[in-house]
Amino acid sequence: MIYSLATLLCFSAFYGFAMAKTAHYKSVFGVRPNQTITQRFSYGAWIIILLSFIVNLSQAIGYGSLIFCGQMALSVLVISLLMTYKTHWLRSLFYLLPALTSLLTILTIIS
Amino acid sequence: MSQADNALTFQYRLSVASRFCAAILGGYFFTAYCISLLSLLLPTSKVDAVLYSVCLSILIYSCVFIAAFAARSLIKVWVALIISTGVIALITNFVQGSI
Amino acid sequence: MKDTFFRSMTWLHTWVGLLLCWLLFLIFFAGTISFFRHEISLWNQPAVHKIEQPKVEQATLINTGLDYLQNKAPDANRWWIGLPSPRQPEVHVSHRHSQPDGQRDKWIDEQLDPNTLNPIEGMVETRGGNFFYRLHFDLHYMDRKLARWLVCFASLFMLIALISGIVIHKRIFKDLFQFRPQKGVRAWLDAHNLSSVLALPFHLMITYTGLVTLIFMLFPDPANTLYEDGVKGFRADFYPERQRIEKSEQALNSPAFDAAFAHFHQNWPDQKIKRVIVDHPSSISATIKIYGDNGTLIRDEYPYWQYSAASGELIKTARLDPSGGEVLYGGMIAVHSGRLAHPGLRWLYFICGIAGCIMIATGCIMWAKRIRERLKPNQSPSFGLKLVEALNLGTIMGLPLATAGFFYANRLLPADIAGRADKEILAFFLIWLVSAVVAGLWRAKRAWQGFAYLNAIVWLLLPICNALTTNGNLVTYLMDSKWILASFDLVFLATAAVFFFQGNKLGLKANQVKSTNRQKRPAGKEQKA
Repeated sequence: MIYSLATLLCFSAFYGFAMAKTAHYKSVFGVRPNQTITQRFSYGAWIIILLSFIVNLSQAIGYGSLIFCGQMALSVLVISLLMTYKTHWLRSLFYLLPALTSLLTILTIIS
Repeated sequence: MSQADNALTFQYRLSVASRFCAAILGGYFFTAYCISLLSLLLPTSKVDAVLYSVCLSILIYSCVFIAAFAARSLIKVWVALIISTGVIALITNFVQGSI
Repeated sequence: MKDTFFRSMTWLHTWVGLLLCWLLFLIFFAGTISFFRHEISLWNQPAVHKIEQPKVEQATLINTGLDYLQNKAPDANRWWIGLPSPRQPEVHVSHRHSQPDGQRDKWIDEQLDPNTLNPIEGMVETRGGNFFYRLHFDLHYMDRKLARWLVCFASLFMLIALISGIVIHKRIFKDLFQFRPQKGVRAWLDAHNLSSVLALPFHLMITYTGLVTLIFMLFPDPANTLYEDGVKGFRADFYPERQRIEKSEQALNSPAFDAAFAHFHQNWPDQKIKRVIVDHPSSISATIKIYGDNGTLIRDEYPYWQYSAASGELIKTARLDPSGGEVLYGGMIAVHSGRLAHPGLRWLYFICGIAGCIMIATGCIMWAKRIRERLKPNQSPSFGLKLVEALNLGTIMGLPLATAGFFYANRLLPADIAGRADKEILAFFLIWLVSAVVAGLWRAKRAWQGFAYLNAIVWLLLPICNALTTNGNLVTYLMDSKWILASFDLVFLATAAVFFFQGNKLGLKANQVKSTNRQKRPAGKEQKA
């Protein structure tokens, strides 16, 4: 459970990294991003990826960092494939990801 | 690259082979002596000294390998490898003798 | 070597990468599959499919195993009891007798159902996942020592190719997430970069730690320096559990197994046991060796307890508190073999391994494509280029085909023929050989497409073949929540789908190239110039 939360966080972070790139942002949202948006995505992504790393490490130091490497690989793979073949899906992910993350966080805390 | 492709002279091939030799064999012996010395110098138990030094060996080997290809002069590569390996081997012998 | 560091690294990346890329592909491919070694062994034994996870205590299973071996082989020189794990539900009970001088002792393996505690009926002779595990570093049909040196050498080249690749790919994070499938060689380059970068920590880790697993063959020097009798002396120091126990001729009448296990369970109540070995069970020098389970700890060697079977006393323990060097070395090997991984991490390992295979494959293909593009219209391709193209096709398309063949052979060979396990392996290599020969004779783009479709069909039919030859199929697996077996069918179908799409894509491209070739050629050349 907690590892799926970390995976989701990691994925969101790489979503942020991708959206912080002008070309990718434009192909997803159709407009060029301004400086502030790019910066926000980039800072946000760094914070979230750090959070994901901490969540992983909180479970087990060695095992957690191994899983973190795997999560990064998976996230980059999925984002790149979406970017190539299903660009418009990424737009809905902008709302879907935070919603899912908060839902999973609440579920984790309850259980 | 294209220049080299057009002029695959015997000399060029020889220098490439020699460089691979330097990187693979020279690098191997350099690393072997280097980690032997390291295992002698580490202030841990014998088992730990061996384990630490073998775990580092690949790092040293790959650095030497890259350096052998990055350096411009082939002769310098050979000279540097032979001299440094010799010096390390001497120190290893000296340290081993004094223990 | 070249005038700048950057250019010499480019040169190095190209040539070091190309020289052994087919061997590397084989190593990566077999290694990736080996992450599911026990699962494949399970799949290959339909008799074990219906076995449920044990509901009884480990202590009961150990007692059953000891009783079974006591009846079956009281005078063996070693008993071996492997306890079930979530990946392998059956209890392994094996024993071996001493052979005349110069011959290796041969193990006789049996499997017990952990719930009924009876031997499992209908086991077939197969190597299962162990075949791929061994293929990963012993390369089969080859002298073991030579094979391991070759693997070492290839891994070293891989590491060099990775490092030089990082150097030359300057915009390593800028190009991340980029894959442009429509643009010819550019698409292959994107696929190459993407598959390398997304699993870069994995690639570096797996190559480095892979070399570390064979390190005492590669660099015995520190051990030679510190120990009088070299690696042998080091091993005696490092593996106290592997010390030979001399057999005493005096017979042991009433073994004190119960006392030993009672002591163990009392002092280490939470310790799960991985396996139990008894040396010389019939003699007064009989010794019980208990290996603890590491769970998800990043450790390679198991914690170890040694009891005397005559008195039930604890003789020695090892690795209960590993030293720094052991943590580093054992940790590297543990991370490489991934034995610690739960299903989630195991799948991530698998995905990263596949990314590695794609990285190597796209690298090989790109090389051939670039050389072919550089050819003048009236120039015929050189022998080297033909060889590279044939090897590319034979390896990249032939290996998956051969793997499917191995699974088919497991299901279709009669259960009772002699040397069945070897025949399965023979099927693997025969299919690979045939694909390589075909690839040597027919290397056109159509051949790639043909191989892709053939692969798609073969992998698609595999779940059907499984359903016809065993009692289960995808639906029953899902209903009985047998996730491991269900994943096999799903992976087979996914593989078929990937090959099908690839075949379609290749067909599309072949047509495009044909129709636009004449107009595009000059423009392409100008760009390059």
